Amino acid sequence: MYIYLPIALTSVNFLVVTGLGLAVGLLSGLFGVGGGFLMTPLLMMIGIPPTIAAATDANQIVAASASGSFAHWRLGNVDFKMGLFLLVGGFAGGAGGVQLIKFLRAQGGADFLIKMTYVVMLGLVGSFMFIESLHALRKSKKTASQKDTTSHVTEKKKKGLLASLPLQVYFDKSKVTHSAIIPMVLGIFVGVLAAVMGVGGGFLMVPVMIYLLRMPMHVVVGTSLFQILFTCIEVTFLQAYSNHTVDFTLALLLLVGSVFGAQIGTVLGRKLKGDQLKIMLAVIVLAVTVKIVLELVLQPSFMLALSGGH
Amino acid sequence: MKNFQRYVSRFIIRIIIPGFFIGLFLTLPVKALNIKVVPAEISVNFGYHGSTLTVTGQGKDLNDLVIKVSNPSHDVELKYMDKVGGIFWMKKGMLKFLNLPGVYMVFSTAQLNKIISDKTRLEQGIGYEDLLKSAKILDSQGKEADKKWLKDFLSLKEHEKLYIIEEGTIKKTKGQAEDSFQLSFKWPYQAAPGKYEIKIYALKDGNISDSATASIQVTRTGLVAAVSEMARDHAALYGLMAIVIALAAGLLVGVIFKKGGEGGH
Repeated sequence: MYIYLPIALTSVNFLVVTGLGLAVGLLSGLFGVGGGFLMTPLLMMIGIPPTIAAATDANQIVAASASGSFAHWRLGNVDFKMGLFLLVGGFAGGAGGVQLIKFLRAQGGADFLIKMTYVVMLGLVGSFMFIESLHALRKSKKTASQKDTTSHVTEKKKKGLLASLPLQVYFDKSKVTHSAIIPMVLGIFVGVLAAVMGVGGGFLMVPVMIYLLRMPMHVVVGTSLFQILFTCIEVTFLQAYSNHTVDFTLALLLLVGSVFGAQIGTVLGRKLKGDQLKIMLAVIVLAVTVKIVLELVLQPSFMLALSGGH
Repeated sequence: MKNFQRYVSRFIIRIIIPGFFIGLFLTLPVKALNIKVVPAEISVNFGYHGSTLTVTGQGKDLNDLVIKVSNPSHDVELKYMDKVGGIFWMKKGMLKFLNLPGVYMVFSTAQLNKIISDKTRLEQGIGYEDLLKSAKILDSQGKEADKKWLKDFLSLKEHEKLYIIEEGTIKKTKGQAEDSFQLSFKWPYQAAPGKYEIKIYALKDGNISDSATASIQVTRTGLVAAVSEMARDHAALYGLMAIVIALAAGLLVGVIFKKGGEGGH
């Protein structure tokens, strides 16, 4: 069954599009990522113009992350205080990133920067998560008491510098104390990268929350989804208003799959261990990195392309 | 005398004037070739996935035929790929392709170079070679770019099924008074809404002996028209609607799953 998309001006198979939504929604519920870094290239592969794929993706992430946030909020997994600080930083960083990319596009060579940011950031995040999770999984086979003592000592050392910063706030849901400056600065950093890369930034925010903010994995997923929800609401409105690139019909088809996928992912996530989840996300992130590297080095089938996208 | 004048004027009005027009009509050349396209209007609605067009018609002593489908030429901007640092393939710069149609299809009864002379082909713009002769490419500085990009432009358009050349696809049938022809082809869903011209050329000894033209109109209708008009004319409202519906759908499914979960316990 085919559906014609009024903004993308193309016809797509209903089952293919809802299937894509389901798969990416599943990842969203499992890992707390919006899935933009996966969905946008997948949509382009089925013939959606790049600018419309990126903008519509943000619209469908609103549904998936609303569904996922709601499910995690019910489970008590959303740290609203932390989410708010990250959001403030993310909004500021996102606005700055949009201006940065405008400037770079005018100068030329923005596409190169975007691609290289993708490769470096995805490669670093994926490799780090993969090695760390593998290490943790191996360690978990040893005695639990030994592991607890070691991690406690490391934790204390790392906290030394961060604890000296002003505006210390206790985040009771995450059971961590940080200066409010830290999540806001991290939010700005992720916001800039998210705007440059044209994605919600979940795949960057999740490792930041795990490794830098030392939040427990289950709270990380819920809080990340909460933050992504607001970022994507902002992006959807701006894209629809300024660029007319949101294909609402396509977003509806995707969200039919993704909202269910997000719920299934949330339930499934509870049955898996934190390290298992991390290693799975790391594998997906690395696979996307390899795909981008191949696209960069292999000669494309078509030497001309529509403008926009990455 | 008055009666004579009356008779003369009646004779002029009733016989001479109508006779003149009948004579004029009879001496006009009879249009031998005609063309009909079904459907003449294509509605782009919610379930649209392209269409099948059937072109039929009749003509006297038909030899070879060529049918050309196109829309008015316009300018297209595309990004070109090039190597950066000798390793990475990137979208490097913008090229503007001037004076090229969005859709260009040519169908014929036989191989084009065997049935049509080079001169006629050039005059009528039949075939890629002749179509591209009038095209121009400009780079981002407005300078004329290398013509080699036209080959890549054709590859892209053929991939999108918007440029097609199919030889030997028009079927001819000999009749007692007139011959007839028929062509069926897939109309691609990638073709944008608008008016398209379908022109048939009857050929004799490589030259055009007759021609006829029909047109089709591709129009957005129903929900497709409503959504695209709203996105264009009420962008803020459209954006808000997209957000509200996405939020509602996400939360609704969340509530459904919650109820399902409670039932399970």
